[in-house]
Amino acid sequence: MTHLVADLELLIADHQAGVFRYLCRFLGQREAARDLTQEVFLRVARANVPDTTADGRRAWIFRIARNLALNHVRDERRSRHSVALADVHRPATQELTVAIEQALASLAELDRDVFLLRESGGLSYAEIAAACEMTDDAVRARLRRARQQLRERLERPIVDQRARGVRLL
Amino acid sequence: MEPANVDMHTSDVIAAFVDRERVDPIALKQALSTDDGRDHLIELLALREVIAEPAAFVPVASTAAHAKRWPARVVTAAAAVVVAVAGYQAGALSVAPAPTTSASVVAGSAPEAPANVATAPAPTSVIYLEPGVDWHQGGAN
Repeated sequence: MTHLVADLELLIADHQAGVFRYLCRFLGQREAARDLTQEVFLRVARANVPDTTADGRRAWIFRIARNLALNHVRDERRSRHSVALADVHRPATQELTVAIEQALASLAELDRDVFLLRESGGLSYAEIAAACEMTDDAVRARLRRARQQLRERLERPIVDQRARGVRLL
Repeated sequence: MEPANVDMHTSDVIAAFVDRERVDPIALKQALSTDDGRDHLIELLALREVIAEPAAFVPVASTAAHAKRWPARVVTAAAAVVVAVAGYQAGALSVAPAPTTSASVVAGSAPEAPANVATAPAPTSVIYLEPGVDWHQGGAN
């Protein structure tokens, strides 16, 4: 039992932050992301961790996170009507947050999944391919498409960021 | 400012480099040999920083302790309880009444009694695991 708990602690320590970031971007709601992050690791605890590489385990964890996020979004759509935000006055940082959320929402679902797994989850192409059950080439194509669309939709924030300077993250 | 105009191959090579994937150094050199290629590199880096905009979220690990925020150790302990209790309940379903409050701790809310198990009553209390709390009977809180 101690060995299992220690392994689980390691998985949580290694992946909790990445899962939370990914779910924040996917859902656009911090509270929901926090709840689902806990749910991800409770499911990890209940399941048999696959006997595979560290990358394979990461892909498995993010597949769980992605499935939970997709279910959450589907349930939200069924139970709520959306509120129009266009007429609400917001501070600049919140404007940017909304612009990012709207730009991400405009992507095709799978393109957005792949993009968020890469940018927010930090997964490699191979891990994304495993999590989304597609080929590496498909991952590249979807990333290319998502980035092209986001570059067009977020032109202004990108120009502003360039003026501030860029770095390799 | 118009997005840089690069072909698919150049775009993929530069993207792979930015994504820390392995790339052919000759292909990378060619991709970055044009103004458009270098511009594309900068755009991808800028896009990444924009998307990683910190105001949108705070990573769980860096937040101050909060009553509702479960640290990794508590989640792990709670998950270990789930694993143990789930095994116990699987063997004890025919014995009534089955204890369910431990499972309630993990879920944070009283779970429904399964429809096909007539004997186990629904739990009537929920206990939240909180670090530093004295769980012994008569302990504070």
